[in-house]
Amino acid sequence: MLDIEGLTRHYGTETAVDGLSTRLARGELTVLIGRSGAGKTTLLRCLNGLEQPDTGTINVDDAPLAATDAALVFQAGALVDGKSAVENVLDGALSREPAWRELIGWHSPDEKRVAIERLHDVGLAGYADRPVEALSGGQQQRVGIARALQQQPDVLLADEPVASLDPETGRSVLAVLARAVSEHDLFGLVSLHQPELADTVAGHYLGMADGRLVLDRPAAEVDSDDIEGVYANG
Amino acid sequence: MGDRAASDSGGHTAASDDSLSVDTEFQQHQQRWRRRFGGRVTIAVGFVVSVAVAAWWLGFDLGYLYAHRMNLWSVLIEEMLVPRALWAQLQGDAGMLVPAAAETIAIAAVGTALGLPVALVFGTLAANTVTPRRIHTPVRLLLGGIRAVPSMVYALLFVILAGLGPVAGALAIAVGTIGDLGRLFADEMEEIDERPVEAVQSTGAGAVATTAAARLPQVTTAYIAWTLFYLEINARKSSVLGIVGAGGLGFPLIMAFRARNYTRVMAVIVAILVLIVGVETAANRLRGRLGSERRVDQ
Repeated sequence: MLDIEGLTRHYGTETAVDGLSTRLARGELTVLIGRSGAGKTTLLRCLNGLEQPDTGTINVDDAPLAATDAALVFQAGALVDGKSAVENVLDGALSREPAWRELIGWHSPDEKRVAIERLHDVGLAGYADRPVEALSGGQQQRVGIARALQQQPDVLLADEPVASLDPETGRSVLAVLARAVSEHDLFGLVSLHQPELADTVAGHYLGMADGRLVLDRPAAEVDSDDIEGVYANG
Repeated sequence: MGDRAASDSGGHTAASDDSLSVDTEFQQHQQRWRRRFGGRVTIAVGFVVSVAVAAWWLGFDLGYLYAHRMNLWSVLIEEMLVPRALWAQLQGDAGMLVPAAAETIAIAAVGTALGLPVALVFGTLAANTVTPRRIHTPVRLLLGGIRAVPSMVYALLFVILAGLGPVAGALAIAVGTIGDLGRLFADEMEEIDERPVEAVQSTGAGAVATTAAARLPQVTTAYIAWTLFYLEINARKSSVLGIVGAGGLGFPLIMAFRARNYTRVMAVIVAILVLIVGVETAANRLRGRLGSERRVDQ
C-alpha cells in the first residue's frame, strides 16, 4: 500500500495541500480531479520528491518513498528535442548509470534493449531512432511514459498528461498508462481536467478542493454527479 | 503485446510496425549507433590531428618553451609581481595613468555613441524582414566589409586623418561599432514576431511607421543589452589602440615594453584591469536597472 498521512504544503501564507491522508492500491490507476489551484500538482510534486512537504509522511509498504522510486509523466511529454525516442527513454535510467555514458553517448546494450522494449510496450515499435520532434503529440506522450517506466519506478505519476491532446488520442494515452500500471504492478496516480476520458481505465477516484480531499472512492461507486460535485466545491 | 497495442492505439500508431520484434529493432539500432559513433570518433580524431598539424606548422615546440621558461618566470617574479615595487610604480605613475585611463573610457564612450546611430540605421536596413533583397543584401555586404578590417588598422588610417591622439582612436572604435552592432541589430530584427507587424501594416501604416510602431519595441531590450556589451568590448579595444598612437592606456603600455620597464608594464596592466572591471560593473548595474524597470511597467 502507498500511505499518504497528514500531508501539508504551504507556499508563504497559501496552503496548497492541507493535511491530506489517503491510501493507494498496487496495480490500480487512481484518477485525481479538481479545479485549477486545488493542489493536484503540489500533491504530485511532493510524491515525486520535486518538493518536500512541510508536514506529513509518504510510505510505500511501511518504508519512506524514495525520489527514484517515483516517476512523473509531464504535460506534453517534456522530451528533449534533438534526441531520438530511445535516447529520451534512456534518460529515465540516468540515476543508475554513470554520467560518462550519457556524456559520450555510450549506453550499455542491456539498458538500450530494455528502452526499446519500453517503446514497444507503449505501442511505438519501430520508432527507436526517430527524432522526437518529428512525432505527434500522442506519440511524444507515449515516449514520456516509456521514459518514466525506464526509471523502474514503484509509483507512476502523471500531471495532466493528456491536456494538450485531442480526446481520442488522450484516451489511448491513458489506456497505455493504465496498462503500464497493471502490468508492472505499480501505484498509479494521474491528474486530469477531463475525467470523462478516464472512465474506462480509472480504478479509483480522488477529488481535491482547496488542498483537501472531497472525494475518495472506488470508481465503481462514483457517478458523474460525484465528479461534478468536486468541481462545484470551492 | 501487439494486439493490445493495436486495440487502443487511436490511430496514432498506424505507422508502428507491430511485426517488428524488440530483438530486430535492437539490432538495427545498434548497427545505426555503431556507424554514428564511429563517425563521431573519426571526426574527433581528425579534428585533433589537424590542430596538431597546424600547431607543428606554426613552429610550436613544447621543448623550446620549457627550456626557456625561466625568461618569462624571472620577469614575472623579479619585476612584474613584486607588490612593493608595483605599489611604488603605481603611485609614481598615477599622474600619467589616471588621465590615460580617463582618455581610454572617453574614446570608448565617444566611439560607441558615434557608431550607435549609424549601426541602428544600417542594422534596420540590413534585416531581410524590413527591406527588400536589393537593399538588405548590399547593406549586409557593406557591414561585412567594415567588419573584415581590424580596429587597429582603422586606427592607423585615422591617424593620417586626425593626427596622433584619441580622436583617431574614437573614430576607429566608431567604425568597428557600426560593423559589429549593425550585424547584431539586423540579426535581432529578423528574429522578431511578425504577427504584430502584420497587424500594424493592416491598418495602412507606412514602412517607417510600421517599423517604429511594431518592430523597434520588440528589440529595444536586446538592443540596449548589446549596446552596453559593446561599450565593454570597446573599452577593452581602446585600451590597446594607443599602441599605434591613437590615445589611451596603450601608449604608456607600449613605451614601457620598449623600455623593458616591466614593473611599469604591470602598473599599466593593473590600470587596464581596474578600468575594464569598472566599466563591466557599471554596465551590469545599468542593465539590471533597465531590466527591472521593464518588468515593472509590463
